Amino acid sequence: MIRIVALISLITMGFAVSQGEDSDKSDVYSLRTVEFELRMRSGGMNVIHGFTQKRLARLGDAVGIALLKILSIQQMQNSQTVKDLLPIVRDAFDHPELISVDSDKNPKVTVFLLDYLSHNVSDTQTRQDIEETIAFVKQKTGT
Amino acid sequence: MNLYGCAGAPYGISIATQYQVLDQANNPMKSTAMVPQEEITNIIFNGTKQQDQFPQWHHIGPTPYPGTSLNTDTNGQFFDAPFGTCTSGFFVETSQQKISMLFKGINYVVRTSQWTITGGPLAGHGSVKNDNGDVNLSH
Repeated sequence: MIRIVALISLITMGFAVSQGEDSDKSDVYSLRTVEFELRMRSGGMNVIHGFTQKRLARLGDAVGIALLKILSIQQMQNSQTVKDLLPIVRDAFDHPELISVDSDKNPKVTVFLLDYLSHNVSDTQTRQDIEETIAFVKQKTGT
Repeated sequence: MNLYGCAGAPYGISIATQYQVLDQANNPMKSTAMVPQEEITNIIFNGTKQQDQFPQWHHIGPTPYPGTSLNTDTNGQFFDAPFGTCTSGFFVETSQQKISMLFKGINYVVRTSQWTITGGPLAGHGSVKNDNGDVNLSH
């Protein structure tokens, strides 16, 4: 990180809009965020957005639930798809103190999913990547 | 404002911006009772409008970036970080960011910005600017 200039942008408190929402209640499983990330990181693009980085860091085990809802069986057996999703899983557990829901600090669903994936991809390198991700998640969460 | 890391994706830029909330008379609102939120829409990446948009309010903080928090600080300031886009090749992306303050269950929109973010033409380079005219950075 390089500090280049200290800038405070000023904003004015307007009183025009009132919605009263504090989260995306229409997407309780964060499917929109995880689907977006999967697409933006697929096919060698590896596009990383700041606003999704913020949201992924708060998911924890919810990322495993979202992936289970999003991926088909065929996708779970595709080595490239699995490679694409592993960094997303890491981002969801990289800062456990930021995970929003206490029960999502336990990676039970995500480890179950990763273990399933490791038994269903044929590529040796991808299996090793999965095992390393499992170890990363367990180390981060102390499980 | 700081440049922030683009680990593993050397094209693009990621920044940290500190904002000050003002009242309608342009005086600082020195309160910790506000929760900064954002919604991102109209994402167009390399000319392709993305299917998934994010027209819902999400907390801006806290994030892994030091100094970020759920609420504004005692001076009514907050950090938005990381903000930006990084990838493994040249790109141009535009998007709209709305920032609101959640206060007693109501979102007050305080700012709307149209962002243009680029990565390249070489690795390690990127730029970010908004139509508000107060952010225009490159590296």
